[in-house]
Amino acid sequence: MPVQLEGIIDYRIYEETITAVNALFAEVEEVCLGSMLETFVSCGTCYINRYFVPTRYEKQMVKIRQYIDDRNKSVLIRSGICITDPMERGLRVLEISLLSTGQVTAQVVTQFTKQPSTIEEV
Amino acid sequence: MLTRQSSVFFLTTFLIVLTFTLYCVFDVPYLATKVSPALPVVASILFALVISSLLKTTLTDPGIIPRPSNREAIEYDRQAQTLEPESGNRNANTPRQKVVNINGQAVKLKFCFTCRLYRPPRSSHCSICDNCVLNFDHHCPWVGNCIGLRNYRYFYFFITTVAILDIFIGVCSALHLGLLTTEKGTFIEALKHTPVSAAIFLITFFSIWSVAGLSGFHTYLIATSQTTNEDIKGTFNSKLRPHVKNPYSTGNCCKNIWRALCGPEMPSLLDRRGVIQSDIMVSVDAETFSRLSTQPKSPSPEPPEDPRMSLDREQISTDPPDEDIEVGDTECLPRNPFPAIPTPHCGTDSNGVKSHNYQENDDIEANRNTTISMQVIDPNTT
Repeated sequence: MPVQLEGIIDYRIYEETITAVNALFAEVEEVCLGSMLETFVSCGTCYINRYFVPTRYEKQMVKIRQYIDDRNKSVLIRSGICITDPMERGLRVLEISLLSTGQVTAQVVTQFTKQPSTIEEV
Repeated sequence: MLTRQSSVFFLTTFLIVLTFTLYCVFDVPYLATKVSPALPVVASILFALVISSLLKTTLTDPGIIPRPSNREAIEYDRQAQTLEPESGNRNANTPRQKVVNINGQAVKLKFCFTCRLYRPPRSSHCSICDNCVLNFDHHCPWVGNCIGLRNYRYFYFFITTVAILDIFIGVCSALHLGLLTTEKGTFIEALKHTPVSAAIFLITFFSIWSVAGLSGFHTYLIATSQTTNEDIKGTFNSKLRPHVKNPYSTGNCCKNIWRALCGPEMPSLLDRRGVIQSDIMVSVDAETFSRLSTQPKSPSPEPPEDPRMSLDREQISTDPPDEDIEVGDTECLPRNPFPAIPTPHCGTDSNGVKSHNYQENDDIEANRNTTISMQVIDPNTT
C-alpha cells in the first residue's frame, strides 16, 4: 500500500478494491467458450456482428466502471480518496486521487523498493 | 487505421484484386464448364475472407497505448528521482526501468521517453507509427499498419487465407493450361490460347513462397507464444539465454494457439469519439466535505508554499446535501523543478506546454490534489 494512503484508508478496504478490480479483469481475459464463440461468429459474419453486438470485453469494462463508481460512492470518497477508472488512463495506471479542498500542499516522497531478482531479467 | 507510409497497402490490395479478377475472367469460364462450377464459388469465398481480414488488419488499432497527461508524467519523474537520487551523472534521459515478476520470470519494463510511460510487458515503440503498441509484433508495410495485440489474429488469418487462395488460383490456372494442352495437343498451342493463365500461374508461383513461409513462421511463433520482436531479439531463445523461460507460454502448443487466436478482443484504448471532459467532478456529502476542508494534509514535513505556482481550483458548491470537489487532471500543470535532474531546455514539448527552467532551491510543486499513480496489476502478469 502506498505511503501516502497510510492513515487515510484501511488496508483491508484498499486490498479488497484492488483484488476485485483484478478479478474482474482476469475474468474477461480468460480464454473460454464464450470468447471462442465470439471469435468464430465474428469471423463467420465477416465482422459485421460487431456493429450490433458489443464484445465481452466491452461489457466487462462497463461492469468495471460501475464497480469503481459504486466503490467510490460507498466507501472511498468517505475516506477521502477517489479512484479513476483505469480505462480513462488507457489501462496504464490505477489512479488514486487524494481529495482535498486545496488548502494545504505538501511534497510527498514515495518510497520504492527494487525487487531482488535472482533469475536473469528479460 | 493506416499509418504514415501506407502506399504499399494499396499495392497489396491491387495485386490481390488483379489476380482474382484475371482468374475470374480467363480461367473460370473454361473451368466452370469443364471441371466443376464449385471452383469459382470456393475462390469467391476465399477472396471474400482475404479481403475482409486484410481490411480488418489494416483498419484495426493494433493496441496503441495512449500517452499520459502531464500530471502522470510528473509522477513518473518524481518516482524515478526518488528511486535513484544518489546516482552520479544522472540526467533526465538516463534509461529508467521497473522490474515486475510474471509467472516467476523477472521482466524489465523500460520507460519510453517519447510516450512518457513505462511500457507494459511485450509492448514496444514503433518508430514508423510513433506509438507504443501492446504486444508489438512488427510493423507490416504490406498491410500498412503495426501488428499488435488487437489485430494479430486478423493478420494471421489474412496470411493463411492469402496462402490458400494463392495455392488455389495457382492450381486452377495450371489445371486450365493442362487441360487445354490435352485438348490442343501441344503446350504452345494452349499457351497461345490463354497466355493470361500462364501469367496468373507465374504471379501465384512467385508469391506463394514468401506468403507460405510467413504463415509457417507465424504458426511457429503462435505455438511458442512469442512475438516477431521477441524472436528477432532472441529474448526467449534457449540457446542464447538458457536461464530464461517464456512466462507467456503455457507449455502446450495447442493451448498457445488456442489462446492467441480465440482469446477475447480488447477494445481500443484510444477513445477517438469521446468528448473531452475538463475535470472530473466528484460528489461528496457535506460531512465529508467539511472534514476534508479542515483536515491538514501533510504526511511529511511541510515545506513553504510557493504562491507563484499555485493552481486555481474553483470550489463549486451545489445543494447542501452534496458538495462537489474537483478531482482534476489539469493539463497545464508545469513540470516540477527537480534540482537533481537537469534537463535540456527545449521551448515547447509536444503537448504545447512550455517547459520551465529548473530552479536551484527546493520549492514545492503545486499539486492541490496529490495524485498517486500506480501500475495496474495486470492479471496476466500475476
